[in-house]
Amino acid sequence: MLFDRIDIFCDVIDNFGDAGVTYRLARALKAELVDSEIRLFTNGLEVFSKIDCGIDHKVKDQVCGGIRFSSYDILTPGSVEKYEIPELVIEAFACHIPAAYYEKVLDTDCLIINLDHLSAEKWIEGVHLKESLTGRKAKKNFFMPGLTSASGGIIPDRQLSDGEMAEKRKYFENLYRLESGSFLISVFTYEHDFHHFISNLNSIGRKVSLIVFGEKSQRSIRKADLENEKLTIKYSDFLPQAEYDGLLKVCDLNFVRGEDSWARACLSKKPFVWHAYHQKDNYQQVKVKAFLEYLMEFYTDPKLYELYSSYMMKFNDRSGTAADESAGFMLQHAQTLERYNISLSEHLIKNCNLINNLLFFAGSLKNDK
Amino acid sequence: MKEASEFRAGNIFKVGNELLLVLKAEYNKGARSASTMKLKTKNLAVGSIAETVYRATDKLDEVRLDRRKMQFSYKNGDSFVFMDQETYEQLELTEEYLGDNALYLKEEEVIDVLLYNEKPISIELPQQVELAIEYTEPAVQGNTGGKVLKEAKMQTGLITNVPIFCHIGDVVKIDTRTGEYMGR
Repeated sequence: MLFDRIDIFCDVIDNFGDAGVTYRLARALKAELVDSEIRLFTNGLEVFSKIDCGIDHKVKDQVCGGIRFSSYDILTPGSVEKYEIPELVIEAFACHIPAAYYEKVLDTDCLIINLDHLSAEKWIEGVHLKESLTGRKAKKNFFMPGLTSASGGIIPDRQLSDGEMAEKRKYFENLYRLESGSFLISVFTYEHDFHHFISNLNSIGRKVSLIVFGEKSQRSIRKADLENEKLTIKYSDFLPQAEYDGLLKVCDLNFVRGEDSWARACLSKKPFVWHAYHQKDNYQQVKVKAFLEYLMEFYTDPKLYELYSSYMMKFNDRSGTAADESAGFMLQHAQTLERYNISLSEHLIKNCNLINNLLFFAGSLKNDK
Repeated sequence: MKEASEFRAGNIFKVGNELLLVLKAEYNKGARSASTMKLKTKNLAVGSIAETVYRATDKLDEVRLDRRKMQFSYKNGDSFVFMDQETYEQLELTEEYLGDNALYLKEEEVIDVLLYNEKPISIELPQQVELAIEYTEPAVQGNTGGKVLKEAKMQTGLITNVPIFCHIGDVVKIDTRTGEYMGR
């Protein structure tokens, strides 16, 4: 077997992004290495229980869906002493592995993968797979998820057939009691002023349904709530991860945020607007710009690309000086945007499979030993 | 111990029993706290060159070196010759050891030469140096805001961006940590 056991570590700092990615990673590794034990250690079981309702946040060590979820609390010096360290340890997003465990890892013949955040910036290719010297027995390498074949790629998900898509769309229309055939938009963003967007939708004259997730988006949309006979707004509880993935694939437009839902949107084949995590000095704009530059290859109509990139940059500007531009073009050109995103998704599925890349790299280092 | 983000070309750190001289340091801002530092290093025992990556907040074991104030006299092939101004003793360092620091060195400049076991292994630059522009496209008059930039080659071979109003022969201040223009 390639790896009998893999331990993944994840700090939950705020929001759901890091938990979402590591949960998905654990599931994808389990699907690939069916007989291996995949264990996820975290300081935020409560957040994981919102992603998968089978996880009980009060239980500090449990198995759910074939994956073992454990709280950092159980890693006491005494328990770590007896614990057998696996050959592969994944530390996600510069997390802080409990000291007793980390000290033990460093003295074993183990590979530590530092899994970083997804980025479209070019520099990640120069960092991807590079070694980080530990000075001890364990080896450590950086793994940089990205959208090119020279990066770590993204975690793939199951693509739906046309029949499954139609069925799923109907399912969500029933679930949220929505009129069939309306323009369906999902919204899961950070705080944002949606006044302009909502009045935009109202001026278009088309029936639109919004499904809004998460406190931050719900609070933002409520402030701008101008519901009328053409616009239906539904405020939804969180969906389990697999269901949310399905929703993104059947909506006509998605507003997504952070990292995990951004990656899913890239694979969804549907038009989307990415709301990047806010960084000091408006630095998220650098990340958004890099993504837009990457998209240029797929968005072949320069005028539409210009409209789209300008909208996305303004949407992500937290300087307080930029208002949203008109979103009307995304409804008008939804089919063209969808065509571009089909190419994007196909490119990613073909060339950027994070699970294959990770296992190939870790496996080759194991074989070199 | 010093955070990886503070390391610059010319610094030395110890990993296990190996002493590594930083030839090039590249900081990349990640999402949230996950910024990285890519270091091109030379292993001082075996001479091998490698690129390794650290979290910006990782603590690395910096090795303090002896230092001597010396003047950069001239370049001889790929060697840089430095002279102690009191004893007139001359020491040589090759480009291989200087890494990116070579791009900020101009003749007659007095800098710190770093020594390990009495052997020169690197230099330490001031945070900024003044360099003359050897070549750039003609200046555009009237635009003095400094926000529009153009490429320029400095007297030392460094290529960086300078404001569009700069001319060939202008002496400009350059940040040695980033290679960026700081002012005239």
